[in-house]
Amino acid sequence: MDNQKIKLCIEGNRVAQKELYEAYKVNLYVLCQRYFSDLEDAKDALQEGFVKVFRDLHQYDEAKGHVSSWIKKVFVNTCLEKLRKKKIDFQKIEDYDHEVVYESGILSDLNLKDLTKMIQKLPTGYRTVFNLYVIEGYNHLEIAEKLGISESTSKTQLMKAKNMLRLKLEDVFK
Amino acid sequence: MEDSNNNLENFFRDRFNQRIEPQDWNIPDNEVWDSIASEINKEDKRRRVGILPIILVGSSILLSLFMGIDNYNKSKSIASLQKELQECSNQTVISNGDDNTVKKDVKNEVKSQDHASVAVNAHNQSIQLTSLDNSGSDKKISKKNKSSKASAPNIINTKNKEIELNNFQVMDLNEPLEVSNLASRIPAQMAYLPSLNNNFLFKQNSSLSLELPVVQENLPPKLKSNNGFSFGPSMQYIFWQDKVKGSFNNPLEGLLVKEETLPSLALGLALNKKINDHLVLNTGLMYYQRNQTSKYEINLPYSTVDEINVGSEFENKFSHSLPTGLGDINTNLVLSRSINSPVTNNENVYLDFSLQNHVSALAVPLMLTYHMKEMGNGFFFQGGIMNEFIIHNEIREVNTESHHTFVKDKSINVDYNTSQINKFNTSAMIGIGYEKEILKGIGISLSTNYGFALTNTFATPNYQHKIDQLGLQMMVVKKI
Repeated sequence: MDNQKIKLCIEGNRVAQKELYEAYKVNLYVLCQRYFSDLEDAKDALQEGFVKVFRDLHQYDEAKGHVSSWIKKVFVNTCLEKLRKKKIDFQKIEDYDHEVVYESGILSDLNLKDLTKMIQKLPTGYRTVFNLYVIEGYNHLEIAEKLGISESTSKTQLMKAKNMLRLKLEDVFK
Repeated sequence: MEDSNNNLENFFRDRFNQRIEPQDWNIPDNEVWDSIASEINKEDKRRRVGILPIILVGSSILLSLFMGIDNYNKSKSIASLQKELQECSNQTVISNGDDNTVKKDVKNEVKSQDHASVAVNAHNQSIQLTSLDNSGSDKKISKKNKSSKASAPNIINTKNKEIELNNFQVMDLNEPLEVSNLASRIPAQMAYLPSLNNNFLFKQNSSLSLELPVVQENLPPKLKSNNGFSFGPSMQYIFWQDKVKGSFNNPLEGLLVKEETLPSLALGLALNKKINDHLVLNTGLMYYQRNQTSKYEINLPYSTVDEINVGSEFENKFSHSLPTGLGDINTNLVLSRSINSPVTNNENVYLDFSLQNHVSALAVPLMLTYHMKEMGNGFFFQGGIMNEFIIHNEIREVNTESHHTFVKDKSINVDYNTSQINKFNTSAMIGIGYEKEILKGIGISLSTNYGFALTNTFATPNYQHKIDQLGLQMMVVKKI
């Protein structure tokens, strides 16, 4: 997406906006699916995210990075906002203290869709922290601020998410 | 353990940063894009409408400022004119010399005096400037002609001669004598003179005479406002009170929790016509938007018999007609549940349902104001009618929220016929206020008024909806 196209999108050119939508829809739909177990919720987030992108695109600062990174941030925030409305309760999520060590070589047999499904099956809190830390690359302090939780809760949730994923992987390869 | 942790993290991170093949994902193509495009259109519309009040407020402020400056300049000019007229009411200029002398003398003596302040008598092709002192005796001003012919004071009388004073226009009486011709030659401020104390122009013995009777100490109030009209921007903050009467003729009877309308900011122009010292007729034009929220609490018996199997879940469709302040709306609600959820037939599902009715309207007030003292000063009472013309109406912000653990609100569509609303509404208004003249000819008024709705915004034989209003108004008007 070049700057000229972005300018056209800001000006409200529907053709340019559709092009931007087409260019990023797959990646962003996958991103939304990582945050929501329900496909309808993911679809809603995709829609809301693009509306926000087109509404706020004039705020995008070229000097601060590529437009795709900015769009991704908007989508992550949209998903978190939607999740907040659903009131994620990080404290009440059942405890998975099961520690599993897994051989990494076997993981390469899984495709992206399988992995997304696995993430979707995680409880909301685990899933959210896992996505933010592992995929999006936020640190625990940033996650704590974003989700309104303590850093230690973020760490615990991540650890439990990973344990749960290991269990799921174990099931797949049984 | 640490390695295993890192492996897992790196694995997921790498996989999700790889190129994603579209064919693996069932992207809801046109459906999502259509919704996005529709939302963007709405946003654009909202943004455009959002700017309108700012433009109107800005215009009102600029108009007020312009009127203030204009009024200040005119007041200054009138005061100066008033002073000069007063000074010159005792002066007489008599013409009996040649043109050059006349020009020189008058320029020297009158100098910066305004043309309008001078009374001239041109007689026998000569001009002499004289003045009267306070006692009324003649005092010669002309350096050339010392004669003191003050027999015909305050009269211009020229014959085949051009007379040019500081700001006087050249007047050639060989030209046909026409009032329109004269008017164009008389400097701007001179135009005030014929309206003062019944001055008049007349033709006498083939010569032009302008009589300037003694100017009184104070200018008559006619100068300030002759036609009794005043005009200016107005702003009103309106609180609305919904009044719902009757019952709902549908299965959701009695479940309307609340119908409320958010306050509106109305902007527009006011036009007042003075009838007498106490009575003023008010009218004008105002624009505002009104947002009314209707909240419903819906209790639906969920039928598992009517469910449709859609993939991993069941769907159930419900259609209802709901009355709102803007007419009946038809809702198509889809509820869904997972196949494994333990929902029994006819189990109650509680839903919150809300929607917003949006209206844009123009209002034309027709009010009669009674001023306790006089127009432009002090308290007043007012009464009359407010006519509202709805120019646009639509349903916005439709939301549902299920309170059931296993049944969720999947989607809702609303069909709304915009023509069912009453596009013309009238309210009976009463109010009180206070008006103060802040600058000469410019008044500011603050008032509060209550409007009893006389017509329904929407009505069926069983259901009537009307809206009363309480307004806080500020007007800045200038006499025109």
